[in-house]
Amino acid sequence: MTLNLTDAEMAVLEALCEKKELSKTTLIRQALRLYQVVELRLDKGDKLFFEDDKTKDKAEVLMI
Amino acid sequence: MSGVPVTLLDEHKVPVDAWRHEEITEKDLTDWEANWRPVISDLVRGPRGANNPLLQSRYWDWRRKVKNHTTLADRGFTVVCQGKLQGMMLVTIGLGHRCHLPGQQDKDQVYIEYLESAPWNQRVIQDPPKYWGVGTALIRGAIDLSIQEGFKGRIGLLSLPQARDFYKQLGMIELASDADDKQLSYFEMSEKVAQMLLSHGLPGGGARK
Amino acid sequence: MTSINSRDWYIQAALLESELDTTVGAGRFQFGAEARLTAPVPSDVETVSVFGRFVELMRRKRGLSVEKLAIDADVDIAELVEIEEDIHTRPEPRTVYQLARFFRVPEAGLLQIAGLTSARDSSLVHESVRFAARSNPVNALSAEERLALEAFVAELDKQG
Repeated sequence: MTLNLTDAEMAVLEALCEKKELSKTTLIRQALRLYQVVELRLDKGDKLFFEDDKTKDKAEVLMI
Repeated sequence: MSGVPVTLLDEHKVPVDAWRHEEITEKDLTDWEANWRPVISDLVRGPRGANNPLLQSRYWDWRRKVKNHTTLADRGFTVVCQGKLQGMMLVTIGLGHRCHLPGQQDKDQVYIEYLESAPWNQRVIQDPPKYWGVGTALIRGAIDLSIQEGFKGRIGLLSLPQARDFYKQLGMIELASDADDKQLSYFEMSEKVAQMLLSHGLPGGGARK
Repeated sequence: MTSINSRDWYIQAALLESELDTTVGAGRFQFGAEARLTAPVPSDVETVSVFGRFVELMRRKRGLSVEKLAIDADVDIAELVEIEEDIHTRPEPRTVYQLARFFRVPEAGLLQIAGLTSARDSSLVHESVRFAARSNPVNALSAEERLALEAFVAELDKQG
């Protein structure tokens, strides 16, 4: 499978690979796992939140 | 799906060929139901069950576990010897679990959710067990998967005090919240230990030769 | 040290497994990432039913059925039913751990309440018994139940 990524997207991919010490393939696998699990929860009706560590405020992450 | 050849030891400590598969199939679950469960049920109901707190807990429902773990992040493993199921394991790849060990803090890992040997392979139920090495064969599967996924062998798991020595022997580091013997312990394998383990074997093994 | 081949690796590991049992003592070693209890932990009957009551209230507070909680917290539904209904159930450590994470309370405190670790702190036990006494089995959480639950969680947080 070939991916058509823009330069900006490629730059982000490479930066993430470097940060997480993963190859492009393994990083995209991780991203796919995350996306699948999030979608499954959203389908169930759950919501995804980020929580501010200091204030404990929750902000909803809108998913398309 | 083809498996990876592994080696177990029988009750006389003679090497026996076996297979580790990276999935739990319907056949495995049927094997579990037909062969593991009746043994455990009998023990629970029998005279030994009355005095043994171990056997008073329910058996794990592997069918349900497999059904609830079908995402890309879930991976099942089995060890099969002479066509019979000897051990099962369910792991999570990356998601929901990050490392705690200094030096690899917050990095992804393969996390072992469940690991069980067939009752005849557990010394507390059958002594000597039919096969030695089933558990290690499964854990090795988790480590290999960790490496395949770019996690460099990092794995984590929760252990009761009684099993601690085993994981320590593998070189895993115990990260309990305190030293109380009865607390649940979290064990983690470092990249370095995983590398040494795979290339040179277990820490305690050298002397044996 | 020379490199080790695959077969020898497994043989060595299996040998070490067999030898480990000897040092720990036959019959007391239970292999498994989720080894079940082999030694009985002294438990108060009260603390086990408290755990069940706690799970039930936390679940109802979130408007979850037992089935949904089992799915969301990734625990066995049969075990969850037993936890809530059967005073004699000893839950599996992983289940308690998962519920602690799901309900966002300290694991150590919850493990203690579930009777899986020895009760080291008498104030937590006292609070547990007061909490159990104030809860009643009616469906909707009464204001009093809510207050009792909050006080209990606060005590758990103190221990964590």
